[in-house]
Amino acid sequence: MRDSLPWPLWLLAAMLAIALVIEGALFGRVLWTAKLPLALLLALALSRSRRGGAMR
Amino acid sequence: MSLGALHLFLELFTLGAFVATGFWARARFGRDGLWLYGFLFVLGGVRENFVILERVLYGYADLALMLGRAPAIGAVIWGFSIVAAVAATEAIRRRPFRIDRTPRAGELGWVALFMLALAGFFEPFLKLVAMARWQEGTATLLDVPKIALIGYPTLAVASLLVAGSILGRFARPAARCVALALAAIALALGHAWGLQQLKESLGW
Repeated sequence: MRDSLPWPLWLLAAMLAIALVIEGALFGRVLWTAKLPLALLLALALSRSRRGGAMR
Repeated sequence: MSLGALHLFLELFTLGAFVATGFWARARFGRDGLWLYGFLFVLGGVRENFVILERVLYGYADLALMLGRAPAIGAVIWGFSIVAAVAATEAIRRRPFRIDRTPRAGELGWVALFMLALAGFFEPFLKLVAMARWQEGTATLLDVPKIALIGYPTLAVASLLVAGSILGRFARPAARCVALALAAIALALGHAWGLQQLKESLGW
């Protein structure tokens, strides 16, 4: 197995950001609570993947 | 921006994310990653076509990019989501996720949790932008259909269990291809049909 940056997680983070913009700009309301669990899990995963170096 | 243009943008972005994630699966897991991704692509394509043709669970707005009778975005979002859940799981646990064996309970637990969070994100957004149409009277929790809270994690867990056991058991490409294709079709049909039966029996 090879290490590689977790692109899918960055893509999901981009999706969250795009959804925020679309909701705010086009619909006038942002669904904050709907995004919170995913945002927290992404933050956890990305912080651990950046801090970590090689996996055990 | 018109709703049609917004839908097309979201379709193209998701397709791009799907392709990019395929490259990641190849870089991360080698050829096994492509086998898994192909399995998930067939799984998603068959499942969403079954959902449309049999009118179970939900429908879609008229979208531009189709794969058979189903929107391409519906077919590819499963593969992208499940591989993203795998990426998140190994990042959080800081242990490699072996896709060529039956996954461990701890791995599947994180995958399931991540898929629940994805359901919480996707479903209210798809409703807001009018891309998905759930059956009339579908029960929801915080704007997420209750049945989706079962559907997302169970499809991810089942697909990783099935693909892992096949990739671990069959080494020859021809055997893998046949086994993965048959399993993807059976899982896709069984999951969508079973979820609809469960939804009806629970009155959701």
